[in-house]
Order: sequence, then C-alpha cells, then structure tokens
Amino acid sequence: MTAVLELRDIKVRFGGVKAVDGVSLALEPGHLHALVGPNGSGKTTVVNTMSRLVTPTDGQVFLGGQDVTAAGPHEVYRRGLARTFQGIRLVEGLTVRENVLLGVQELPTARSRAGRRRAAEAADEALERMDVHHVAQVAPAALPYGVQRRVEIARAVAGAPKILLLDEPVAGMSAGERQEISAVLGRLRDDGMTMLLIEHDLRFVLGLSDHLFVLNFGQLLAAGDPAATAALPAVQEAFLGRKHVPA
Amino acid sequence: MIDWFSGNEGYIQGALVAALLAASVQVALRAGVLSFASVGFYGVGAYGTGYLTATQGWGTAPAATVVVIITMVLSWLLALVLARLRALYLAMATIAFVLLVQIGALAWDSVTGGPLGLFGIPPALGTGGVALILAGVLAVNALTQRGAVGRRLLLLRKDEALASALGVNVRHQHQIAFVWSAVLGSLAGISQASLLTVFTPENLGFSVMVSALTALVVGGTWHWSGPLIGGVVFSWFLSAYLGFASDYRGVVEGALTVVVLVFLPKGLAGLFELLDPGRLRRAAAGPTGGPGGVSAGVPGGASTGQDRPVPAQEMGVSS
Repeated sequence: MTAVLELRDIKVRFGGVKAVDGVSLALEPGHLHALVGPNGSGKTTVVNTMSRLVTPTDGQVFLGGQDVTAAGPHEVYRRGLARTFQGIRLVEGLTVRENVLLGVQELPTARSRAGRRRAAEAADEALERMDVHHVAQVAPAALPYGVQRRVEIARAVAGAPKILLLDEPVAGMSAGERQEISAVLGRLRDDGMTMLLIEHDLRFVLGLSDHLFVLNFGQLLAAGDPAATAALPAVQEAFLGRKHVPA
Repeated sequence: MIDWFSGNEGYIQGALVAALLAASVQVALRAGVLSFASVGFYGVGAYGTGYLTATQGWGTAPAATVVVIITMVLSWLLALVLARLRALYLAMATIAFVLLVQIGALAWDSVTGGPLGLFGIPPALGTGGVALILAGVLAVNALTQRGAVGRRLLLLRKDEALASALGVNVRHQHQIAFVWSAVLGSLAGISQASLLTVFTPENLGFSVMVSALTALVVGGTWHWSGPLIGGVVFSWFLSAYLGFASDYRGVVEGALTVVVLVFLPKGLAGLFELLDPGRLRRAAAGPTGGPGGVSAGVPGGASTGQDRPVPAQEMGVSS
C-alpha cells in the first residue's frame, strides 16, 4: 500500500545546527500516527518539512507517491496536506466562519461558481462536525482556547485533506480541553482521516495513536506499536533523562 | 453651482490625483507589501504620456495604453528583483527606485525635458475623465475588499506562513499587488500630466511619497474609501478652506495626522465602522443565527473581510 506521506532520509540544518538528521518515516492511510520527542528534538522541523515551510538540506518528501521536495507549501496544501500550528493561528478581523472558509477557498476545486458553493457547504459542514457552528459569526479571539483550537481543526479538515498534521494541538490546555480535543481526534480517526499528531506528552498519545514515532536530537529513535515503543529503555531515557529501571 | 465648481476645480483635480496615488500605496499595503514604487511609476506614467503626446504627437488614449503596458512589464520585472525583500527593507528599496526615477527625469533631457520638464501636454482627460478613472479604481478596490479575495488579502497581510499553508501562492500574490499598485501610480501620473499640461521633476520625489502616505493614513489605510477621504481632506479642504491658518498649513497637517493616528488608528474611514449597522444585526442574530448567520445563503463570498466579527460575549458564548 502506498504511504500517504513519506520522508526519505531527511536532513535539515540551520547554520551549524542539525535540526533533523536522516529521518525516514511513512504514514499509512487511515491511521493516527504520533510523533513524540522531548523539547528541541526536531518535531516541528519535521512537520514544517512535510508541509514544505522548511526546505530540507537533503532527502526527499513524497505525498501520495509523488516527490514534492521542490514544491511550495501552497502546492502541497492543494494536493491534500493540511496542518495546524503549535500556537493557534486564526485570522483576527475575520469571523469563525470566514476563518474556516480560508481552508477551502484556495483549493483547485473552488475555482468555479459551483465549486465555491460546494466549498462553502464543506466549510459549514466542518463547523458542524467540530461543534463550533453556533459561534460561526463570532470573533475567534473572544472564544475559549479549546474552542479556538476546534475552529482551527475545522479549517484544516474543511477541504477534506488526504492527511492532517497537528502540531501539539493540546499544548497549554486544561484537562477538560485536552479531553475535548482527544475526542475530536478520535472521531476524525474513526472517519478514516490519516493524521500525524506531534506531541511532547507521551501519555496523551498512547491511548489515541495507532503508530508511534519517537524523535530525539533530530534522529528517529524508535517507531512501532505505541505501547511497546514507549516501553523501550531508550525511549524512557529520552523522556525521563535517565536509564529505565524495570519494575 | 457652476461658479462653485469653477472656483474649486483645481482643488478637486488635486484631490482626485492624490486619491489615486494614495490608492496605489494602499493596494500594495493591504496585501502585506510595504512599497512606494508606485510613486516612481507615477513619474513613469506622467513623463511617458507627456513625451508621447507632447513631443511625438500621439493621442492621449494610445499613449496612456502603451505607458500602462510598459508600467506592467517594468513593475513585474522590479517585483521579481525585489521578491525576497520584506517590510522596511522593501520600503527602502522602493524609495531608492523613486529617487532613481527622479534623477532619471532630471538627467534624461531628450525625453523628460530635464529640470524644466515637459510642456504642452494635451489636456485630454479633464476633471470628469480623471474622476471616472478614480471611480473605476475605487470600485475594483471595494469589490476586492470583500469575499474570497478580501479574505485572502487580509490573510496575506496578517500571516504569510499561514497563507502559504492554506494554499495561497504568497510570492505570486505579492507580485500581483505590486503590479496593480504600479498601474494605479502610473494612472495617477497620466492624470496629473493631462490635468496640469506640464510635468517637472519637482512634481516627483520624496515629498510626493510622504503626501501619498499621509493622505492614506489619515483617510484610512485598510478601507477602500480611505484614499478618497485622505485626498479630499489634504488636497481640497486644507487648501480651500484653511483661511487665515493657511500660513500654518504644515502645522495643521501634522496636528491632524497625529490626532487621527492616536484616536482613529483606522483613519477617518474607521468612523464608518463605528456607525456600522450590520454589526448590530449580526449581534441580534445571536447563536440561533446558525452557521451562515446573517451572511448565509450567498456561499463562498458572502462573508467579507469588512465584516466586523461579533464579540463572543454578545453571542452568549462562555468558557
């Protein structure tokens, strides 16, 4: 089966710093993958490379089997890669609905009048799906943090992407808000959405993901079944900063 | 009425050209491009049309058409050269371009008439013609401030990385804004040359740039009507109605600019927002307004960048 997204031996250097050093991974259709690692391990750089906001020093990026290493971020978006950012990035001055419309209006399918109508319907469906339709005309900045995050996810899924990258979607959230987002991600997984969830909290992703990648110092430390991978001594050491002592 | 118009025509003409020039800066700025290159193309437009009509005997319409095409080509090439620059660096590079055009105007005697300038430019456009050009430009700017284009422009201005992650080709959009800005600058120059029938290097340069920016900021940087309001206030009202204070015009202009910047950061056009009845309608719609709210039923382009979002408290949303 062709991977939805694949990285082959990706290296990213910022000056003399090796942010990512030879990472290869493949994301399978319909799975919720998690990419975890301590702060500074290169997780966001990997996501930025996938979404083409960062150009790798070496290596290749494939989306749906096609090499997109030289493509711009707008091109990979139009080919079905959507993402959210670590900090919430909703546009001030637009309503919630207008923010979600931004997620569909640049798609090639939205160029005709009929296409624009379908895109607007898709935006409204996404608002309903994320349960934020009742605040469609509200200024996003005035909404609680968790609701803002759901609006951002609605914008990302409105265009029915082939893959969704979520960069630390629960960072800075209360327990209740984390639970809300966890439920949203679970629903998307049940709908068959291919996702990559970037997180530094190992516990949050364990019950949620189908496949776990662990990154440390810019290198892929381990990958596989979430529970088994998380139990590996090298992974424990990377997260806890000490050798794992079996119980 | 005719007497009033005759007495004020010079001021009205000044306001129309000032509004065109301010609009040329605005269309770049609203896409996140801080460029003054349009003031340089104001010179290209004025000298180009002046040269072709006054010395080569062309008609104003073909001359203006050729000059606008030349402006589009030159500005596209300039946009390619300046593509990597942003914010203040881009502003500085475009200021350098304006000064280069002014130096070129002084030095290229055979085309520009050197320090004396070009004389005998046919007054083909007239006040009505320039008003028509401005009306067309403002209509396009008003339409592109709404719907999908308006949202895209706001997104570009607020967050380029997000824009590209949402499918916007940022570089291409910036180039389009740059060229459109240059074309408006050129149209302002064509209009000015035709209205004054003379154009000299003194009509160009740093002071013109400052005037255009000031008119825009006072009129309203983001609203399509801002350039018109700024042009009318600075080139008409302050010239015609200052009376005994006309000796202190610079002081009055400075004070007005400061007052507007402090109390009306969106310019005089921002006053419309305070009077926006749509805001009250949207608030009244409340949470039961549904996903489409007030703008439902006009898909894809119903909501606008101009719509002022309703604060959550008014919608009954709480954490």
